[in-house]
Amino acid sequence: MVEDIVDVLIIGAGASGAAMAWSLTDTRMKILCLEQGDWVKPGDYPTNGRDWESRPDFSGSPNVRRNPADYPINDADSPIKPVNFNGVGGGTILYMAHFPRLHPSDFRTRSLDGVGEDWPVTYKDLEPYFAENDRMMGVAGLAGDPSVPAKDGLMPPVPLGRLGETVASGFNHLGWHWWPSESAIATEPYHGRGQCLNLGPCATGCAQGAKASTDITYWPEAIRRGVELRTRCRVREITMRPDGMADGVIYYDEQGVEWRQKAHIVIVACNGIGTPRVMLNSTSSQFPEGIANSSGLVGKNLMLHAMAVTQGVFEEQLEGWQGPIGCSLWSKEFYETDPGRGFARGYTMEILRGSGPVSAAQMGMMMGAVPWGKGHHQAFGQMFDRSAAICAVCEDLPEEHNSVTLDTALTDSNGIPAAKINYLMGENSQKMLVHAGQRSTEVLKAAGAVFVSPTITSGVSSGHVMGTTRMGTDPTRSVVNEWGRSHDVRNLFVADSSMFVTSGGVNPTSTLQALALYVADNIKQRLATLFDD
Amino acid sequence: MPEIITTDHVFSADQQQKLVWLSNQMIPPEGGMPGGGDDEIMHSVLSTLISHQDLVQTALQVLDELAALRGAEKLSALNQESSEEVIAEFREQAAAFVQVLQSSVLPVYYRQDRVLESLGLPARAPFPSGNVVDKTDWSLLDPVRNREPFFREVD
Repeated sequence: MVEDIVDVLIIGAGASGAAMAWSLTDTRMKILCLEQGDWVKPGDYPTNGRDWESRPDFSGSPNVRRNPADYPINDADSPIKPVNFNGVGGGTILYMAHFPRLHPSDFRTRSLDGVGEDWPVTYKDLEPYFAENDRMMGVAGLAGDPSVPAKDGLMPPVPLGRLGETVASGFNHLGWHWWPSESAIATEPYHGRGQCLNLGPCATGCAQGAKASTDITYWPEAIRRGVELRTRCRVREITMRPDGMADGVIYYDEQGVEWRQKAHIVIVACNGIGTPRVMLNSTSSQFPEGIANSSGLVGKNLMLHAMAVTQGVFEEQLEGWQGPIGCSLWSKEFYETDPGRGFARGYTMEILRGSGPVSAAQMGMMMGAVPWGKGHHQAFGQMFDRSAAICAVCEDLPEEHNSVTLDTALTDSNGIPAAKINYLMGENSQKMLVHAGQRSTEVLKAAGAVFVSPTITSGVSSGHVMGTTRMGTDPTRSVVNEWGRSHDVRNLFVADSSMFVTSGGVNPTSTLQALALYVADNIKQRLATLFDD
Repeated sequence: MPEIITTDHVFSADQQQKLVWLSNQMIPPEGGMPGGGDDEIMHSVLSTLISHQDLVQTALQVLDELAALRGAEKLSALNQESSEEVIAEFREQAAAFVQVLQSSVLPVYYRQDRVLESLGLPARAPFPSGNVVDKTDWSLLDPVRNREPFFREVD
């Protein structure tokens, strides 16, 4: 079936699609967003129930979750397992709300350090969009961090709790940088949202609504301004017109009925795996290898962030099961390049609060710290609420062999080919992981840990998926131009982390949303000449 | 015999007894704490295991064989030392099932009121009550506040 043409069609209602939709309402164009998932009801979040630690339907992995809206991801050939969420709000439903921005140097890695590529935009270019996004999402933090450019408008920081204070003392002992994390969490009532109740497990959704997921930040505003958001609509492919412009999309509704939706502008915002998947599935005589793929780079240069997780066990109880699990404090001591370390670029050390008892028991058994049988209760008692972990988010350099392709056998429930990822950790990342593990161990010991576990670097999950339709000025080395329009198809845009040229060593949500607002602003400013060469 | 064992369950009474035994081997009842094979816990565990019937049956056969090697017709006939030997070998030979059993027992066990209360945790869902985290004394940051900006400026 065919529907009336719309001015703007956005695929994906997640972090970036929401920001894009909201911003474009200034144009008064007819905007439609198609989202394969549904709205999440606050009452459905796991923290409403006693089984809050064991709800597979809110697992970060689509391969575990297997909700009707999910598509499988073949991650067998990757030591890092991608996580996501498919629904209104996208990844922000399950993210930890850690909200750092990329640093100014992250946009110039080739010029500064001879690795990666320079972005076609700078931190300064994005700064107003970072600020606008912070205002829409609501960010808690503390001004004055010497590791990042100054910013204002922050809500009070999330309290460190005993765990955070303990680890902070370790950083102080070593004379290393630390600062309370910037967090997209309302620590005071904000734009109608209640303040954080320190429930703990932000990564399964926030029943209180204190965490800034776009279903409760951007979307209500965007819808009030006239955007139509159609849920349970899964796009199969973007279609082409004979004149080389995108025609619209073919999608399936909840009942599996196939629809055609025409649009003057098509914007893909499905994240670093979903976006190349849709584009690679969009084949035509003009683009037999996938739409806008004359460079062959759609799906290439996948970056996932190598992560080093190190856990320390302390004698005293740390009360770590309360408070936002991912947002406590960070250290940028090793963020900027130091040639003496033997690798380029750097990483952020993010302190994780402790988990609930189920996760602690599962982790304890996995690590061999909590035995079966005699001694189980004693070992668990010595570990639970006495553990603190440091997760080092390491900059992942772009490498073409790391990629998203279409799986030859796996499909989603509509029969659309699923994504397969191939990922090999680069030598630079491996050296960085070793360094990060050693430094994390030093911090935990300086903080008083009586035992520090070996650093875990493999099998770690990451929702940081970037780089697979990267931006640039050279059509042979990038998929979209310096303002998000594809080089090949002049009414096709990308507006998510796929555009990242490098990954930085921080969580990407703040930057990808700023980038979406930047692309939206460019569309608004260039409306009269938007499709010109 | 635990009250949960019924004859119309998808698992036979004998299989249920073995699963109870295994769960108690994982988390033993001691020091006033319930065991993993506690009735209340096993209700949920058995429900979860229904979707892993083949794995359960294969694993319990392995368990029988390991017990038989030690001359025991019933698991209850094993002494403490033999039980520990059987469990050690069982965890190696039936690793996939052990993962499933742990994933079934631990989430149910560690949300029991008795268990949570013994750990000093509230026996309730996190929402809506939430938790109180004390305000931070930010003088802890003083050594860092004195530091000059150290991010790399870019033209």
